[in-house]
Amino acid sequence: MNQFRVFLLWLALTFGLPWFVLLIWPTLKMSSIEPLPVYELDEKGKKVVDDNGNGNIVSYYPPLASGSKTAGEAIYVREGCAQCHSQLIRDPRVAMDSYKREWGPVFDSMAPQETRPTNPRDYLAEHHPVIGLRRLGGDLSNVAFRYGSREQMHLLLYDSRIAQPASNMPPYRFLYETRKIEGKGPSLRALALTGELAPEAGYEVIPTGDAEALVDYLMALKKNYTDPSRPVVAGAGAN
Amino acid sequence: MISESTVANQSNDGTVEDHLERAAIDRSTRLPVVFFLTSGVAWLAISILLGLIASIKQHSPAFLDWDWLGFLNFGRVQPAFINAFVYGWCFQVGIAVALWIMARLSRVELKNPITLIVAGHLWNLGVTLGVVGILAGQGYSLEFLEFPKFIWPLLFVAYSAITIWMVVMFQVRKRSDAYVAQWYILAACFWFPWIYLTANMMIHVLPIPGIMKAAAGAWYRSSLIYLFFVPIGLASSYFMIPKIVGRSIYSYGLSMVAFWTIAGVGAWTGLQKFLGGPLPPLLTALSGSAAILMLIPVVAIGVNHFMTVRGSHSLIQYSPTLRFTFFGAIGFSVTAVGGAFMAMFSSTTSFTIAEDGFNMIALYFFFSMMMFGAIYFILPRIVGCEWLSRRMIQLHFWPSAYGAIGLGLWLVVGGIWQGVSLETWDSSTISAAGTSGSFLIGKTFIWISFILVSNVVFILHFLMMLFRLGRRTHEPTLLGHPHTPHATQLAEGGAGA
Repeated sequence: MNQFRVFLLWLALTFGLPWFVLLIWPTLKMSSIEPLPVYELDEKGKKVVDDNGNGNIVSYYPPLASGSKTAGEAIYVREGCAQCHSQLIRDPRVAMDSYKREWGPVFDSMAPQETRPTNPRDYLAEHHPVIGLRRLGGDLSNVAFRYGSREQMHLLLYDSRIAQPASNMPPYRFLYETRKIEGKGPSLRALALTGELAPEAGYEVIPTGDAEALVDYLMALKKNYTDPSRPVVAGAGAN
Repeated sequence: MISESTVANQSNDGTVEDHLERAAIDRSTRLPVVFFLTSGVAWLAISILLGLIASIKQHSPAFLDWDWLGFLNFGRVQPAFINAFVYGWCFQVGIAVALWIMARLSRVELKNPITLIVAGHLWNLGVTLGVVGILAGQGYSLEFLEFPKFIWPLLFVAYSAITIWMVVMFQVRKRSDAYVAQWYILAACFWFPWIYLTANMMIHVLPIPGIMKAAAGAWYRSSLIYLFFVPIGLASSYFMIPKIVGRSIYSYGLSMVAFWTIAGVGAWTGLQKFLGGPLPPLLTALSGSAAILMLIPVVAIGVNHFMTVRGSHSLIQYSPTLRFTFFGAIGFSVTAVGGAFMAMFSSTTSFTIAEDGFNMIALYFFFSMMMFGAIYFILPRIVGCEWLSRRMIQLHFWPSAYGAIGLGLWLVVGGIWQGVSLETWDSSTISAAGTSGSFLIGKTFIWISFILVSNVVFILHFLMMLFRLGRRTHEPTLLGHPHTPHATQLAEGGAGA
């Protein structure tokens, strides 16, 4: 009996140490991270202050998500987007993520770009861990730059092979609704589908609320804002 | 508690009383063990089908692509597959084998196992709701933790009720010492609730930063493999190998070294996935080096098993249990070496299909093969008839072996290619996807022609045993005819049947 307790104690010790060092301690440390306020600046780059010496907060770093963006994130999680897409730009000293042409804000330039690596504060904007499992698709940290309009994003979700015939991305047609055109003409929200994908005459394909929320979320994925907690080095990074 | 003599006396003397005692223990474990094995095998069937769909969907999303089948998209069917496989098959077969080994080594009958059956039903309810929940769009975004939020308390309660039985059996054991297999089972029983509770509290309950939730997920996946599946699998090999060759384990010291290295290193692994990511670099580096340290138990266990079997290697040819177990032991080496290799190059292999390859090596090449071996030993003893056909066992073994090696190595190699392509700054994502795509087609091929075929044979054979359609004889089904009477006796399960 006594020996059994000693055995359990050793098991607890060998397990408890890494448990504390890898999870509990960094969690305690990181729980103090909060979004940083971004203050209004004057032309000289000085903080505008009122009579009491308080600055005027214009936004937060990272920009906080709310409403339909949060709903869109839940759809992102539930559809398993994270199974194939990451949201992580690793340190350029370790991996090439920063230089991937498609993964940064300036994706169509032929010259190498350096995208800012993500840091713990970036993930405060999200409610779920969306960092991802695999990279069968591209990294989505800056996906909003890749697609000029919501319409393009909707087409991609409806059937990714419209834009990229070699794509392996599953179609999310069930987030869209085919309905009869009523009134004077097709809805402004109707997708511009052509060829085989076009609906029958008199019908139109429009996004459901879920699809709109998901696109709201995706179109907000821009990590080009400057990290105010780090000094900006001239010429380093596209931000 | 743990002394030299415990290792030295794995083989039992063959008196009539011993035979009667063992038969009584086997009878007492019949209900729970058959329950967990049967539900495990049912989940194996389901997960292999889900895995097939996921595998095809991964390279050809147009497969089964009608509007009303949208829930079969890769993003939902892949987590449904891996969770059904882990919690449905691996866990339940592991629990069944651990219960039986614990009862046998403690030499106690499993009295009144009704709590176990209730807990088993609860567990199956949890897994069913979880898998359906994922397909219905309630899933989550961390590997092995994709079950909807409300599932984990259910599984936790069910698991705790099962664990209590293992500890109770150990506490009332007849001998005061403990066997190596018992250390591993107790340790796994002790670690898993802690791992599971930590990960789920961090992810679903406590308001902590998203990045630490991701860290908890990566740590959970790795700890689950190294601190639950590895101990249970090794418990089976530490029981089966000495039993079949009729000889005690070669070295007590080596068993000790292996056990405490796994205990000391296992929980450090996992965070290497985020090397260069937003976690403190020290932590990712610690995790990576811990995964490399897993090479120590590989050497210790490899030498120990090899020396135990030495001189009786021909038995691998005849005994189905020994053949599967020995192959699973090789799988353990491949798991740890693969884990160490991927930790060394984790900036390339993270986020690629190499990680799926590692899952398949750990869960199929190592764990499932060990469990198949144990099932071939245990089932005849509790249902009272022998396996029907030698050919069916061979048809199970060879495709499974090829499938295990093929899936694991193929995906790791494919993952390296994919990783290198992703690491080329001016190559597009679509070309990296194309690079991995050809490997994914190969994966589907391996899945159909090896994994599916071998397991269909196994499941049929298992069902026949369940319905007592096996051979009514006292001679076990061997994979050939040993040349000497001595070898026959050994292959039949050593001195103790």
